[in-house]
Amino acid sequence: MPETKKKISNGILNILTYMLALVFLFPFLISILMAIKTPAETTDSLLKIPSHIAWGNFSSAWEITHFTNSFMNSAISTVSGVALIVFCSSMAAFAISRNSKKRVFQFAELLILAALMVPFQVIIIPVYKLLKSMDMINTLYGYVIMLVGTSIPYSTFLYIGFIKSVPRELEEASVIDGCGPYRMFWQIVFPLLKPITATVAILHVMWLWNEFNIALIVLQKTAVRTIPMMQYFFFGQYTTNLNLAFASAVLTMIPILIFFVLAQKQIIGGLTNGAVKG
Amino acid sequence: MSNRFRDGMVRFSFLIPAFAFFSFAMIIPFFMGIHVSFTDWNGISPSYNFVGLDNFKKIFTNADILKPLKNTIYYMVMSVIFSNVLALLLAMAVNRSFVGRNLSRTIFFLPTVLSAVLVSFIWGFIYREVFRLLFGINSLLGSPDTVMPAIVGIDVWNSVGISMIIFLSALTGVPKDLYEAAEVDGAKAWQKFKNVTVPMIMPAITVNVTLAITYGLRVFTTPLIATNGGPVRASETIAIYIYRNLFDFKKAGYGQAVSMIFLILLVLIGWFVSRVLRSKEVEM
Repeated sequence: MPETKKKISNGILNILTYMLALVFLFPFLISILMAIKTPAETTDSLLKIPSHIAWGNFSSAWEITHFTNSFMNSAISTVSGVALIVFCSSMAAFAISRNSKKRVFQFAELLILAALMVPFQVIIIPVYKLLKSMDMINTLYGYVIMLVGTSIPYSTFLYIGFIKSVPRELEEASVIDGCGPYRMFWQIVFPLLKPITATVAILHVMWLWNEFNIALIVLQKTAVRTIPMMQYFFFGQYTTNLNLAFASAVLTMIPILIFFVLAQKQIIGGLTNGAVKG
Repeated sequence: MSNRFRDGMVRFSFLIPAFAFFSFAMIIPFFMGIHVSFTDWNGISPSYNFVGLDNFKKIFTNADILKPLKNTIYYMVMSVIFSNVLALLLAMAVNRSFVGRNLSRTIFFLPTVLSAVLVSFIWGFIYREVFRLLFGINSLLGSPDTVMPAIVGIDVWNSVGISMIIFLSALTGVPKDLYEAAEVDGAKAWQKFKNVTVPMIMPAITVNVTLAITYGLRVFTTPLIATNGGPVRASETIAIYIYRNLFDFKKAGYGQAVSMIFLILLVLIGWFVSRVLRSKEVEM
């Protein structure tokens, strides 16, 4: 008797889970549905599935939003930002974890941990002032510098946690063999950091690709807008043709969803480790 | 001796690239911010005056800040409750073995990869058009009474997957024999949850609640994009208030003073919450 009771309650739980999954999927489905309909079909019936896919929506949305332009801006800032984050924070974390008895390095670690507590809103006004005084508003390099600088505390923190568990024997052996410190780091240590480098890189690809707060104050002009900025302005002014707006929404979902499918394990693993250690 | 000095410089040089970026983006602005908070800078002109503690006095005498403060605290409390309860339910749901387990887990996590701009746009449409069609109601974002719950709803959908993953990894670490032992003792489902699951996943609860509180107090992007703080400031949060003082009200000095107080508040609350929760972990 308890067996059948367990089966029934499990079945009910399954159905509830599937229904919730459908609710979670609904915004995706409605976006796709809206993106493939014409305005006439939309006014006729909002939720009806159209007989034809209006492919034209996608090409029009591509043109109106200057999609190529914003895609390139997003790609350039994300790729260069992530490369710099990995380069800088792996080196800094290595120095901090291998010199943990020296005052300077203890202070460096303390600064990084303290910075994790500072929300972006606290520095938004001075950052604007600083970039403006250096003519870096509306430049991609100004944006990338800000992305890297504000990401370094968390990425360095992740690296420090990992490097503490990497044995020192190989480093000591390579020093005896006459290997200089920079070559020793890049040829011996850095390859050993591959798992955490993958985590740091993948999480930051996702975050930098979607970044909004810094872009909002740094990237105002059309020429330098990233995808989130382009859409912020586009959705704001272009409310007359919802189908085009949704076609643009679906277009921008595609790259990040492909990335997610490819890197799902790393993303989930990275979030779990990072959060639980923190 | 000179060799030791050289070794020290080489070691130190490993910090230079990271700290060059970090100083430019955070350390320098932080100290500039302390300076700005004591001035009447308007955000545009190159000159400004030192006004002492005036900005800070204004914060505590001006009723202007009460509304964003109330909205922020409301958002924080609601998102701590709803995102954690839902995340724990989802994690327990996908912690069982059933057909479609991995797919459901992926679907619950999927919204977290979308940008806030995209999410706010899609949900704006759903609230406005789809809810009217399905339930015959006006947009929840359009009324001061419902706008905050509606924004909490958007953000819960957008980010509950992350808390779910953290709960899930804690749940998979709970030894099965603890549940079996509880069953032998005649424990019901609720008792097993209360006496086995909750104490065993307390570290994950600490992480999720602390994250929800600190991120909840920082809430900025969704209300800015979805409603621009409206209608009639009903969804204006502290972070939006700071931003608008710079770009809309031309009161950067005052806005910066608000953000300094805001930071102190954040650090105190974060410290207090993690202390309380961590002490619970030790007890078990």
